[in-house]
Amino acid sequence: MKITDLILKIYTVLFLAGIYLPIAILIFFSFNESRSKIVFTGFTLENYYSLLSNYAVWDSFYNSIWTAIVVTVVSVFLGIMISYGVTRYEFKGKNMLDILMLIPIIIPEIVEALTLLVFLIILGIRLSPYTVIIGHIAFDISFAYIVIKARMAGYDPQFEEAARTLGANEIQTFTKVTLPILMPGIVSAALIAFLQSYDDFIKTFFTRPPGFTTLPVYIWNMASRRGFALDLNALATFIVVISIVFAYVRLKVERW
Amino acid sequence: MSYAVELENISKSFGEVQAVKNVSLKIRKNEFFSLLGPSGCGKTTTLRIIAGLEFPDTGRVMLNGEDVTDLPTHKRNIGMVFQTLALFPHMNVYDNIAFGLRMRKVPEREIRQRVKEMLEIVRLEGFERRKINQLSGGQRQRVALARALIIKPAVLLLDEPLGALDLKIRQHMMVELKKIQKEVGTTFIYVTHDQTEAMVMSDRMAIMKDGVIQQIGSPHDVYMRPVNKFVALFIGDAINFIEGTYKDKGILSTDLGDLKVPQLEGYTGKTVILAIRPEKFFLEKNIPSDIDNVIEGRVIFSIFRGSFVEYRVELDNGQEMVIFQPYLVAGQKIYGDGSRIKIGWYRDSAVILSH
Amino acid sequence: MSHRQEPWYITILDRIRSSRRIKVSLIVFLPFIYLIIFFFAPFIIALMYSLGMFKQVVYEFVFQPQISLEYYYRLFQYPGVLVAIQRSFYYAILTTVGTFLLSYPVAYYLGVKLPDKYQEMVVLVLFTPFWVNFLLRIYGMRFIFHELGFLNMILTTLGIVNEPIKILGTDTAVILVMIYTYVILMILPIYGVLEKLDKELLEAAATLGASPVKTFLKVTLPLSLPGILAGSLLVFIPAVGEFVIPELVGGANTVTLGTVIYNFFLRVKGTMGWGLGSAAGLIYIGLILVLSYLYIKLVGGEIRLG
Repeated sequence: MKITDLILKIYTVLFLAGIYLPIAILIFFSFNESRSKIVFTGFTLENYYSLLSNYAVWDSFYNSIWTAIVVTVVSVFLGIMISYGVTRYEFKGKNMLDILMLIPIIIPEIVEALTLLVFLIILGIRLSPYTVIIGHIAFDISFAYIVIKARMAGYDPQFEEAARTLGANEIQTFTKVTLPILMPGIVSAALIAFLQSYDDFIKTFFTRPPGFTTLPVYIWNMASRRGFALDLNALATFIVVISIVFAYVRLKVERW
Repeated sequence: MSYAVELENISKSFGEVQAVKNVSLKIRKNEFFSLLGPSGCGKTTTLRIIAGLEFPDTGRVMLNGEDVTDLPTHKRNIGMVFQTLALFPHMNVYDNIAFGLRMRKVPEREIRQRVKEMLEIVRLEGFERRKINQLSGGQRQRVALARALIIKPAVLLLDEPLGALDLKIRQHMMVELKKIQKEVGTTFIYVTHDQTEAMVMSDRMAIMKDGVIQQIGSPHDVYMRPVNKFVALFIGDAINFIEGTYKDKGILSTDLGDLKVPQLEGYTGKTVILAIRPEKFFLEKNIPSDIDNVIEGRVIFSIFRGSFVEYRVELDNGQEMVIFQPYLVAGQKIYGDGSRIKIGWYRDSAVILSH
Repeated sequence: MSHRQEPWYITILDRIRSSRRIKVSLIVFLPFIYLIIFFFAPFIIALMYSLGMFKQVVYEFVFQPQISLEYYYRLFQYPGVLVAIQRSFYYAILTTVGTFLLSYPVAYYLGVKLPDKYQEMVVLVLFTPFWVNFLLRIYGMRFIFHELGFLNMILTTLGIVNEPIKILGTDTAVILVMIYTYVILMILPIYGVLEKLDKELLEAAATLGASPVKTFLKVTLPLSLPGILAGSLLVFIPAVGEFVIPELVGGANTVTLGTVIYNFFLRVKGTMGWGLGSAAGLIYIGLILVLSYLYIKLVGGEIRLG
């Protein structure tokens, strides 16, 4: 039994190392000065300088951020409403609704994206950054809903009753009790919703207007060429750092 | 006389289930009143109707003589301690207690003063800045109590607040609650399924079953004079029942022979139940000479309970009795398993219950 | 007791409060309408489109009340489509099996063996890479699989192969990258089940005389089955429609259902491409619905997403 435990442990460590390997290699090659790009010949920060002066990257980054913020605000707001209603009220079709809310998460994005595209075109809606936002909200509501609902499941409805016996009206109860208590769940949901939108490639790719590039679309444009672009490695370092910060903040919020 | 709470013919259904059936109650001012009963008996629903957290299908709710049947909770001047306590986890002790006063727009300076006084009453001075999750179970109880009491409610409603506590702390809190009630002089309505809690704290209590009030009375009344088998069983540690046919002149004919029982009118010829509490018996040579009834039985086993000895005795008709004998003198005789003993009791120690 | 005078909006709220139906409609169904319009309706429209119920007149689409299976028929006639679908299943099955084999020991170790105090840290370590954009991670794999890359370096150094082998552009590359990308979706539900597994069950099995191997086969594995099924569903469904990975690390011989859909929409001009794409997409949705239905019938629960 002892030896199998040891083997399991070693395997797990190797596994974890394995999932970090592609990321580590990306960062490693971001410091490569070689023209051939795939063979490491010497250390340089050249790729980082070229990234800093790359207007297209910063434009895409800006697009990713502002669309993700709009998407997050709307989907968290709607997600709160639905999850609040589902946890607090009994009504016909509640179980059905709960399943329907899961579908946007289960359905692969390519299908979601193309059906939305067909829909938009048939209705004669011109593709714009707003069509991208509309598409993102459609799956982000579900993510927000699931995270907030999980929080609400542990939420005691007696908090609200207590507030009411103490003389708070409905609005006071909501703003002074319900909302603050659910805040960690809401922040957690907002982080996930933001990341899902900020990181989304497929749906953006299908519903964007020509020339509108987000960071993932930029990465795709660079990566789908056959070669290697070391700016992209430099960008990867930058994104990895942001992602780690994100993962850490999320953990903190969860423990809150 | 004016009452703190009056319920008139209150009924409430949830779908098919009728939780409360035509309940009427009058609770006096400054009274510690308990609603007692097994789970699902409608006691919590009754309490929530008083709080305005549920609205009755029929009937009226009066607080201090004023009809509040349609008034929402936050406009009734009531305090409530919840089963889960429902202390706001995002606020410290001070903010929790101050909440009700803030909703009433009381000036912050007065709030500070009143929270201070309240913390003294519940003996939590110096805990103002504590977070709720840094408090013990007993301390949380007190915060919940302080939060509900500080608004000077017309009535304080308590929904099984001691349920989650350990036995020792619970016993302590019972006495504490009673003391606080005397000190603040507020009407307390206490919901519980634990008859001990109700017995210890209440001035009066109502025992409920299936949405119907069975009996209202002081702890002494309900213990000594239960109105039916349900109340007799629900109150107290144990009780013995003997079935028989009521003859005239206070005689009950049973398969143990004729027993002397309390004299009642209009029961002649009816099948009734005689209920006797386990501590009402005398054994063997302790039986006084003027005793009314003596029967015989065989000890099945005995349990030493410290302040008393519990016997399980099989009577000649095969029925099992529970008998408590006070353990007064060190080395007092304990009747061994299998020994035959005489059992005696006075006619007025027993109660006749209709079938 | 005094009745406090409430502002007008409270009076309106009182009205709303008194009607549960109004409240539920406002809170739940109003926001849900968004999903109906921008998520569910598009599926219906795409379904109608694939059945030839719209025809394009210059720049406008006109509804025509007819149902034709022409697009579906043509889809299967289209060169390469059947092969691509077969290939997609081949990839998806291998990916599902691969992720399961790779991740079960890890999920088992984390869920059953690892002391609780390390759980949170290890789970954080496990998840962090998956917060990095998947396109970048796939791009990173190119550095590993390249002929001059990390993998070939190791293989040649160890003398396993003499010449660097070509991996990029092959089935192997696509499957390996898919396994790498989807493995977390397999670990998550299995870990979720194993972590909740009552460890006393394993001790009980031991006291009843089961060897560790028997305990594993008779107790642990059957009890983790719901997690395995959920993981398989979560991996298999997107794997069938994958198009990014074949595009980035595959080649001319790694065309999949996803690539087909992608190509119909973005590379084939005119209504035909769209019709075929919609038809392919709807076949895919049908597959997903069938699999999800089977899953719910088998496991009966909802899918845990961590």
